[in-house]
Amino acid sequence: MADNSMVTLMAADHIEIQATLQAVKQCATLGTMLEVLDEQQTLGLPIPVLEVSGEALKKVIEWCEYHREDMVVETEQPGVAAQILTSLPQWDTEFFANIGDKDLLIKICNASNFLEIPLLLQYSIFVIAQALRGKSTEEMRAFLNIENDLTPEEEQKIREDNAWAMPQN
Amino acid sequence: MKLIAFAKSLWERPSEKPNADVPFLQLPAKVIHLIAKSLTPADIALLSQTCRSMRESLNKYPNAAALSRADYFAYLAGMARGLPNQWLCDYCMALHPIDKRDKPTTKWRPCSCPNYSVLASHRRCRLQNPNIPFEHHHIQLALKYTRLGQRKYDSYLRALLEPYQEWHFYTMGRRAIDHEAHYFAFPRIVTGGDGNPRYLLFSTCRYLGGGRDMLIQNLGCQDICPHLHFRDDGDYYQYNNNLFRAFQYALEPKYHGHEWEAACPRCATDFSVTRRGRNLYLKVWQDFGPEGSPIDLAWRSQTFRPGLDGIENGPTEGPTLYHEPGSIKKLYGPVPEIPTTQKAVIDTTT
Repeated sequence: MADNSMVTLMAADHIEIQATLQAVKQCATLGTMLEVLDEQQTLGLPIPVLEVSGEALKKVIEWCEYHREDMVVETEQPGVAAQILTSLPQWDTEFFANIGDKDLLIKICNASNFLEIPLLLQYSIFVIAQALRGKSTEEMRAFLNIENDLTPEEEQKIREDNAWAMPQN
Repeated sequence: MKLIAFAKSLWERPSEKPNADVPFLQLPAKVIHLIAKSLTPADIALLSQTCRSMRESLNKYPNAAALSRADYFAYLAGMARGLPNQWLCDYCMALHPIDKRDKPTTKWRPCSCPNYSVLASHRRCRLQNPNIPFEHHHIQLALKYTRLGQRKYDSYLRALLEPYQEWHFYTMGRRAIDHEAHYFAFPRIVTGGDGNPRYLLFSTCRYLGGGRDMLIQNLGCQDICPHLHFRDDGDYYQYNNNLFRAFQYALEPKYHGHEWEAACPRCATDFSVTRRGRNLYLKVWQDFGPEGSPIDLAWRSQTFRPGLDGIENGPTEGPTLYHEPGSIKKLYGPVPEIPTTQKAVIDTTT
């Protein structure tokens, strides 16, 4: 298959998304799958990506299409996603700024982990961490859509456990 | 078939367990730890308190009780962000309740810090010479109420940002000001380049020439930040800094009307000195940073008091915060009108 040939991906919610083979190869999981599949038997059939929603997959493929000519980062390369970034390239900054929906950002992060796209995983982790930095617990809950399920007794225990011991003047 | 459909509907029924469908809590443990690696220890301690699931996921990280003093301050600053009626005290390293009578423009004000009276004389001053007597908690609260935008804090926010005026400006030390001098300060919250609100201050000192020649030795002492001052204590640095030189140039007759602009190389301070007619005008723009802790560099670099390292902040030692000269003046925007007669000062430019 030529790198510019089109591939159809099918998300968990049965949404089909077209992508170039070159873009799909940015996802190590899909790249490996394409290598082991019999091309004649699978030609024209959508590739199932059942762990990822159509909404998230669409954004992941948009990112992969832009980065399709980038060198594919080896997932075995130690700690690519673990490297701490200080900023993102301009296009990627705009890509994440345009996402708007916080849940979608987290779904993209999850998808990039599942599809093994180390650079997208690293970038989405950076964006999430940036949004959490310096925030209060309440602001973190609001950003992550987390409901406080701790009982008042558990909260009191947390406060006590987290208190710094110091002499009172 | 009906049985299968019923079983499926049970399976697909939304969970009653809170947070069951929260995308962040569905991230694999590996990804949660990668995110934690990009956070500070204080952020991790606060994140671990969001819900039971995060508490379990992050239990291998130290809780706040095990943090260093600097990280614990950051942790308390994060706590204070979420508690509108609390502020973070640098002396007690603890949160105190607010007292709405505690505002920068009131000289003898109450304060909820139990150690306040012990420290009163020392703590009131950010600088050694008279200045708007605000403290870091006024900045914290003004920024917090601006971010929250809740009407119930509006009147206290207005009080925190009230302009300050001193119609009998004097200086400490042996050298008094031989001219009538007036001091005004106008705090303002401005959105910075990163989208976060910042606390800026524009202050100005007006020296009236009257019928006499204006000489630098008749202008008493002047501190605009811990690094730029001129005093009468024989300190070498008083004669070798941008502030002293700007005053010298501005007082030379050939430069009358010219505005001498400069900046502090050690903290976020821009200033200018101008001689116009018989009067001399000192204008100062300062950036006290975004909402944070009293040990943040933005505040530490602007107060002469020692930091956690015990080092006092002065011309020769202490922290340094670089800024682009003129950038604070630009960020502050139009300056308020300075009154010529004693009356209530209102900043109409905001």
